[in-house]
This record gives sequence, structure tokens and C-alpha cells, in this order.
Amino acid sequence: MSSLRIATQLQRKSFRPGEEVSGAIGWTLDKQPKSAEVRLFWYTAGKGTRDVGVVATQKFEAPQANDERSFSFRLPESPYSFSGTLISLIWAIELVVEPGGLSERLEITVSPTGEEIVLGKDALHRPANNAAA
Amino acid sequence: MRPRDNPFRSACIERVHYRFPENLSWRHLIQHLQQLGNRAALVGPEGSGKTTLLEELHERISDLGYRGRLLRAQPGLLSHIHAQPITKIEFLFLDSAERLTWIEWQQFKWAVRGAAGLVITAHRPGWLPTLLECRTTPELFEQIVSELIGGDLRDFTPATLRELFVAHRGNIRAALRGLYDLVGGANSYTLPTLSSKAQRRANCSRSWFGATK
Repeated sequence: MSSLRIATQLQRKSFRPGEEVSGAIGWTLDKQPKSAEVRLFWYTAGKGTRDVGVVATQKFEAPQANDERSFSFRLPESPYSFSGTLISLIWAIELVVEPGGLSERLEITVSPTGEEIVLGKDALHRPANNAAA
Repeated sequence: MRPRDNPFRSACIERVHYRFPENLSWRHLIQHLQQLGNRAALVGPEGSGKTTLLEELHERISDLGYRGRLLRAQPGLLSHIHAQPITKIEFLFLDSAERLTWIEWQQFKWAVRGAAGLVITAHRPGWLPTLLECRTTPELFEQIVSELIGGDLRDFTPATLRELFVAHRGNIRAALRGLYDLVGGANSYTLPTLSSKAQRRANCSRSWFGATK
């Protein structure tokens, strides 16, 4: 049976923009895969069309059937993880192994506070000078 | 509720499979398609599942030894076909054929005459022989809602769902988007209004599932 694993260092799930995200990935497969790569990306979920932005990809040379590797990405300054009325923006790290398109995903939070920004009704209607205060 | 947790977000709606009416199945659909010479149309109003069924048929066509190609009726369609000529093992699936003008449709048919098959979606019959008429019912809408929220319908009375279904004229996609707003707490959401004639027509929809033509 196939299994894929992703773990960030110290099991961290929230990060600040510009920070480094590192950790380990692993897989146990019946056969040696042709390729394995880990991606850092964000996507939107909610009403309407989904949007995706792949920020970085790391490929692993000569992957074995049972393997473990380390990865490291530098997060960009934006976008932040947030939820509004229509969409949420979600950051994730994904391991993809071919053939078969096997994948595993780990969601993380990227924001200056370390928490997802929630755009409530009040936040949306607050005047800009008050919001900055 | 955050959009990412909303059970009616687009990612969840896209995972809903097409539900065949009673007495119909994939086997019947494929048989009927072959009887029609592999040239046929999925017909039905907006939000009745035509595109969902077309995409699922596209995924299954390789089981019959064909290579499927999914096309959207949009500007540049003919140039796309000329750039990647059709081969004899290709089975084409064209979504929203009615977006093509009559001339474009004739040019398209000529350009793809060598393909193994062609299935299109359209709102009205007449483009190609009808393979299946896609219809919706309040019961079908209720089943889909139940699937999306994990079987627990206690937050939605049948009357609420029926009202939503009728208000959206049986367009399940639009009704599910309406539920997204209701669940998400959007203040701006109001049910669309219908003329009394349309209301009567929508309320008489128990037998909307049509048989194949």
C-alpha cells in the first residue's frame, strides 16, 4: 500500500511572510517512482472559480520506492492566509509522486500575526485611518 | 462561516457526480451513443448537469479504446483544432455548443468529421440527435445538498430547499450558490423572484427527469 508523508520542522503550521519553511517528506510505494517533487503554493476556496499560485517547487533526484528527503522554502511577503466573504486563501505544501499522481498536502498559515486574517464585516467597513491606528 | 469551510464552495460542488434518472446507467448511455453513430447531444437547461455528465463521459471514454478531447465553445476553437488536427481514435466532447454561430458550427462539424465520435452539450435539441435530456427535480436537489453537508439536513427544511430550487428555476448550480450565501451569512443574498407563470411551471417539476429520446 502506498503512503506519502509531509512534516514541517517542529510540526509548525503557522509562519510569518519571508520566513523559511523546512521539514521532511517521505513515501512508501510498491514500485520505484519516476519522479517526486514538493511544491509550495496557495489556492483559493469559496464561491466561483478557484485560483492557484505555485510559488516554489523542489524536485528530488533518483527517488526510491521507500524514501525520505528534506525540503526548504523561503516564503514570499504575500499573499497572507485570509478568509473573507467570498473566498479563503489557503497556503499549502504538497508532495506529488508520479506515476499515478499520488499526492499529500499539508496546509499552513502565512500571516504577520501567525493566524489567518479574517475579513469580517467590521474590518471591511472600517475607515482606513482607523484601521491603521 | 469561512469560505474554506462552506460545504457549498465550488471545489465541493465540482465533486458532485452526475446522477442518472431511474432505469438509466452508464451502460445504457454508451449503448445509446453507439446507436446514434457516436454523434449526439446532451440537452437541458442551465444547471441541469450537462457539463458534469459530459466531463464524466470524457473521463470514461478511454475504457472504450478512444482518446478523449474536451473542448469549450469559445473564440479560437477552430484555430485550436487546426493546430492539433483530429485523429481517428479521438472522441470529442464540446461544451456549450450553442455559443457557436451557425457558420462556426458547420465549420466545426467539417473540421472534426474524421473523429471517432462527438458529444456536445446544448440548451435546446436540434444540433445533433439527443443522447440524454438532463432535467432536475427538487428531490434531486435535496439529495445533492444532503451529500454535500454529510447527510444531515436538519438546518434546511424541505420547504426551504424547494423554495430555493423553484426560485432558481431548477438550476441546481445556481441554487447551490444560493445555499453558499445562506450558509456563509452573506447579507446581500435574496431569493430571485419568478413570475406567477414560471412559479407554476417550476412547481410542476416532479416528472422533470426525461427519458432518452
